[in-house]
Order: sequence, then C-alpha cells, then structure tokens
Amino acid sequence: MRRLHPLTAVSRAISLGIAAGFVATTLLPVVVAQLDASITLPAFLGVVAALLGAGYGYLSYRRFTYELTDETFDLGKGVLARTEREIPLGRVQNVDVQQSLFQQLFDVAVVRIETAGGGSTEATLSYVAVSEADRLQRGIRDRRAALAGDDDAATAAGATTVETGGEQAVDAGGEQAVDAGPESAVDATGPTDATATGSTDATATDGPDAGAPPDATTGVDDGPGGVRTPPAPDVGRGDEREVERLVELKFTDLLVLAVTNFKIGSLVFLFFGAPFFADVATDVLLAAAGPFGGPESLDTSQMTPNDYFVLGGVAGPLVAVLGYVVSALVAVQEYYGFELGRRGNDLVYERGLLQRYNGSIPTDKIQTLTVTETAPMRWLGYAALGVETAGYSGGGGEGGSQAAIPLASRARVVSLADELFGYEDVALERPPKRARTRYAFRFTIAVLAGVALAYGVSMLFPSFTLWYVPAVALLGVPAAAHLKWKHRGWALCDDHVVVRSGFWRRRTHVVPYYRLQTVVSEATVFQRRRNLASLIADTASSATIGAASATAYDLDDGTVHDLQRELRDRLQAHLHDSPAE
Amino acid sequence: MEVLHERVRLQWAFRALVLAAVIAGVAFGATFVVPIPRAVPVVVGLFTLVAVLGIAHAFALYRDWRFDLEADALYLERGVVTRVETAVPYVRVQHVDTQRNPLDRLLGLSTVVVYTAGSRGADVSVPGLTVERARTLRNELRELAVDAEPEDAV
Repeated sequence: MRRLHPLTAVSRAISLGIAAGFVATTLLPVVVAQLDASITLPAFLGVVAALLGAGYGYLSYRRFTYELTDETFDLGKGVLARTEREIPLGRVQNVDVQQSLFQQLFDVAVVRIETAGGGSTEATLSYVAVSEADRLQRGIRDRRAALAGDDDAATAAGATTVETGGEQAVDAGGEQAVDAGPESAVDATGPTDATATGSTDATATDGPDAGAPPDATTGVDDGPGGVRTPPAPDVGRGDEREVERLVELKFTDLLVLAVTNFKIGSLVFLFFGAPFFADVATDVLLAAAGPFGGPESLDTSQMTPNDYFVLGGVAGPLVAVLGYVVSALVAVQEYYGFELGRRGNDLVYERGLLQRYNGSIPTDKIQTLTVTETAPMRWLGYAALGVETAGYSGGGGEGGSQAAIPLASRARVVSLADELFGYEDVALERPPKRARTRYAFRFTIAVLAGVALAYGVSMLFPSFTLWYVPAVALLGVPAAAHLKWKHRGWALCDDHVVVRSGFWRRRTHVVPYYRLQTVVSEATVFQRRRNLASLIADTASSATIGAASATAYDLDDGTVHDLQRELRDRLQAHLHDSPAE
Repeated sequence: MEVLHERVRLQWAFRALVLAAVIAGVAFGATFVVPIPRAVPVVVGLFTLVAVLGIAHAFALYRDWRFDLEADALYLERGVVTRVETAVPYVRVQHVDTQRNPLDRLLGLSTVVVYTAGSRGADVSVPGLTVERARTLRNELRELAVDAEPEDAV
C-alpha cells in the first residue's frame, strides 16, 4: 500500500489546525461569556482545538492508503468513517492531474480518477509526487490495455503494446502483448526488462512522431522494488517518446482563442468585481454615455428616466466588452501551453498557465464528439473539438465534457474527428423552412414584449418617453431567424448521427450509433402547431446541468418519427461496433 | 399500446388539488404583506383556477399516456403541452424499480422506473399501474434486458 506525499501531512495538519483553532477561538468566547469563565480559557481551548485539528489532519494522511493492482485501483481513507474502495481499471474513464502554482513549487500534484456514474470523483489523491502521478496515469493506462488485450487482443493490444517497453513492463509481466500484431516489436520479457526493451519500441510507434527521442533512460523511474529515482522534470515529459503529438496550441492560436471565446460566466465575475473599481467604472460609463445624451453625473436625484435608459443602453455593450476581456484572460490561463497527444488508446493533454492540468482520456470511453465553433471562430476558419466521456470531469471541464482541442484550424479538427470517430464533414440537412418562420415569430414576440414592458414603465414614469426604442430590434428579426435556422441541421452517416445547433456558439454533436441510450422525440404545443418536433439522441454521461444532449431541433414531425425508428434500428445493428468489446 | 389504469387520474387530480392549495396558501400569505382589496375571493378564485386546470391536465394526460414493449425497446408516449415519445432500448436498461408512494398504496397503484446510463437517467417511469401489472412489467423488462445483447460497459 502506498501513501500520499508527506507534504500532504504537513499541509493538512496546518490547514485543519488553523481552521479548528480559528473556529474555537471565535465561537467559544460566546459560550464562555454565558458561563462566566475566565478569559484565558478560550485561548487555551483554541490551542487545544488547533492541536486536535492538526492531529486529525495528520491522521487523515496516515489513514489514506492506495494501491494500483493489476486489475483494480484500491483506496482506503477516512479516520472516523472508513471508506475502502476498489475501482476496476476497466471502468476508469479518465485520469486527470492538476497542479496549482503552489503545488508546482513542491513538485506535487493532485490526481483524479473518474468512473462513469456518480456525481463526484471516485478517487482524489491530493497530493502525490509528480513522478508518482505520472506512474499512476501510465500504470492505469497500460493495465487497462492489458485487460482489454486479454479479452480481445485484436482491438486494443496492437495499439497499446507500444508503451510496454518502459517502466510498466515491470508490472504487466508476460500477460500483456503476447499476441499482438506483427508490427509490435515488444517481447514482454518479464519484470526486469526496463532497459532491455526501451530501444525497441521506437519502431512500433505509429505515425510520424515529431520530437520523440528514443531515450530509454528517461521515465524509467520504477524499479522492481518500487524505488523511485528523482522525479522527471515535468509532468508527462519523461515518456515523450511514446506520445504521438496531435495538436499544439501556438501563441497565435492562443490569441485567437482568447479573442473568439466569450464566456457568460465572466459577467458573474464582473458583477462581483464591480464594487472594487466602482470609481473608474463610473467615469468610463459617464464618458461613454455623454454622446448619447447621458447625464452629467450618477446623482440619482437629478437623473431622469431617460437618463437611466441611455445609461442602461451604454452599460450593456461596455459590460460585454469587459466580460470579453475577462473571458480572454481566463482562456489564456486555462489553455496556455496546450498540447494534445496520443499514447496508445489514450488521448493525453497538458494545459494551463498558473494552474497546470494534464490528463488522459481513453478513446474507447468517448461517448460523443462535439465540434464547437463560435461565430468569430467560424469567420476565421477555426473550430474546437470536445470529447465527452461518462466520467465526472475533473480539471475544470464542464460535466464530463473536455475540450480535446480548444482551438485549431477547422480542417485539422475535422481530420482529427475523422481519425477518432470516422467523422465525415458532411452537408447537413436543414429543418423545414416553416421552422424559420417560427423563429421569426418568436423573436418578434420577444421584441414586442420588450416594447410593451418599456411602455408600461413609461406609464408609471411619465417623464420616460423613449419606450419605443427597443422596437429597433424588429429590423434584426428576419436576419436572426434566418441565421438560427441556417445553423441547425442533422445527418445520418454510416456510423454516427450528426446534429447541429447554435449561431453564436455552434455545436455539432457526433453520436455513434452504438453509444445511443434513449431516443426521444419531443414536440411542444407551439411546435405541433407547425408539425415540427425535436429529436434527442441521448448518450451516457454524468447528469450535469448545462451539458445538453445531442438534439436536432424543429424537424418535420414525420421525419422525427422515422428518424427515431431508424436510430433504434441502427443502434441494434451497430451494437458490436463498440471499441470496448 | 397499453394504457394506464384509470385510477391514476384520481392520483394526478389529487396532486393538482394539493398544488392548488399550496399556491392559494402562498397567495393568501402574500395578501398580508401586500394588502389587496377582496383578498379572499381572489385567493379562492386562484385556487379554483389552478385546481380546474390541474384536473383537466390530469384527465388529458391519462388520455395521452401510452406505452408498449416493442421488439427492441420500451416505448412511451405522453405529454399534454409537450408531447414526448421515448424509446428505451432494452440493451440500455441498467436496472428496473417498482415504487409505491403512500398515495399509490392508497389507490392500489404502483410505478415502474427504468434506469439507463443516459444523461436523462431515471427520466423513464411508467406510473399508474396495478400492483400486479407493475410486477409483471418489471419482470418482463428485466428479462428483456438480460436477453438483449451484452452491451458495452460504460
């Protein structure tokens, strides 16, 4: 059994000690005042609580053990309530490693192991040494491959034996790769072959692997006795020779990414940040509103409703611009130094500026692919690729969805999606034209509702006379309806169904037939009025809010009916396509 | 296609009455904070409106509810305002429950809940079955799920 990095003990003891001491010294005086005890008692109790907290922190470290066996990852944790957990490696979805700035200083990392189902991460190792994180990540991958190889040598082993030359041959023993394809140069010679096979695997690496020196010594850090040599200089560097690099985010790409992605969440950040720069914000707002007839100052006693209206109209775009800047900064922090590669059956990535992330996503666990293009990305010819597994996502992804590629040229994204899933960039069939009429109708109603609301306000405040201005938005309705309609569509390909929706952030979901779970058709009363319906192709995923299922909106209801039948049939026909079998 | 048991209308109607009572109660409470003229008639009117709509919805929902064990999937049709047709392939069934809340037990009804690994998870339930039918349906589903092809593990 292994323990976490000793730094864990120090960090937990300190943080829990401080927390307990703080709670004791702030809460106890209240109790003590009731009891009329002396003032030294709280101080004394505070110290005792701090010591208890520190002791608990240390114990929680002592009582946390884990072990990577051939078939499972075992975990024992908890001081008072114990948890013993065995995770079958075949069920592991992804393994993520995260390093904050502080953790980088001490060369430790947080490892998260995800399986399908459940609303939380199944195993969080906080902290382990970077070399240990690397060992776990690779050990899990290789054992998974070995297990898959036992079941079906043809699918997994051919691709995964590539890596057995490194340290992991130590644990995998002879059972791995014995019956791999002819291109495999690896002979699993047993527990001490770390150096012997190191040079052979370069020949088995598929594809042109740039920057992959066949260096047998780097990354070999785990001798038979589990003795570790000093950690590799960087996460994932030690085994570079195994990685086929797929995508790298260059500086210009990062800039484009920062500029083309607007995250709504940044507005929340602005909202909470606003009080800290209120003066500057006020000056800027007044200066910007001046040309539109804004007020001289934010004196509420002097401002007319029209002033409020103008200020609101000016503040909107200003907030949008600021939110844009914040989004850009967040994007840079998240994706600085992004690299995506492939090791055997796994996609591996590294990213992050202050907070470093790296992780591996088994390709045979991928449920759906999503090609995401914001409007500016489309204009510039870029796209992003997301992969969804059923695992709870760590490392800052959104609900099982991970950006496999945050940004690349559209052609590259499509070719990679093709490699992974056989995705063809087919022309999609659009919804019927009456769907467009429906959108125009809907937008018109929304605008009129806005005008009506403004009119209502003008009744309450007679000096507010600009109530008719929102009606300007009516001019945009036809274009908006057309664009919304234009960017929706669907297609049935040989192996997967493709659905697309969204103008500002266009998402194209690619769902393999063998991944379908339930197939749902939905028609609201407004859709039925025009004989329209939506089709939802649901796949397994952690049930999180905001992770929308693949939905084809507003198709002809007859088409939806046929499609539902067709998808069910194709699911049955493709059940054996799953890479897991 | 199979329909639900008639008594489910009573169940849904009762639920509508409870909802109407809660809404009316909240509205009545609000009239103490924001006094309005003729508070009691307004609240009674609100209760009646919600109750009538709810009961009408219950009857319409019963009329529209259909389900069927088809060759490859459990198929459900339901919904008054939004019409939903769901196909749950047997290979995707993770497990099947029967559930009975107190009202179910009072009316001698039972609900079958079908779980999948999908993001819409436990969304699929068949309410308003007799106890006997719920049990046979659960058993049928279980056997169909077992007989279906061994699926890829998630």
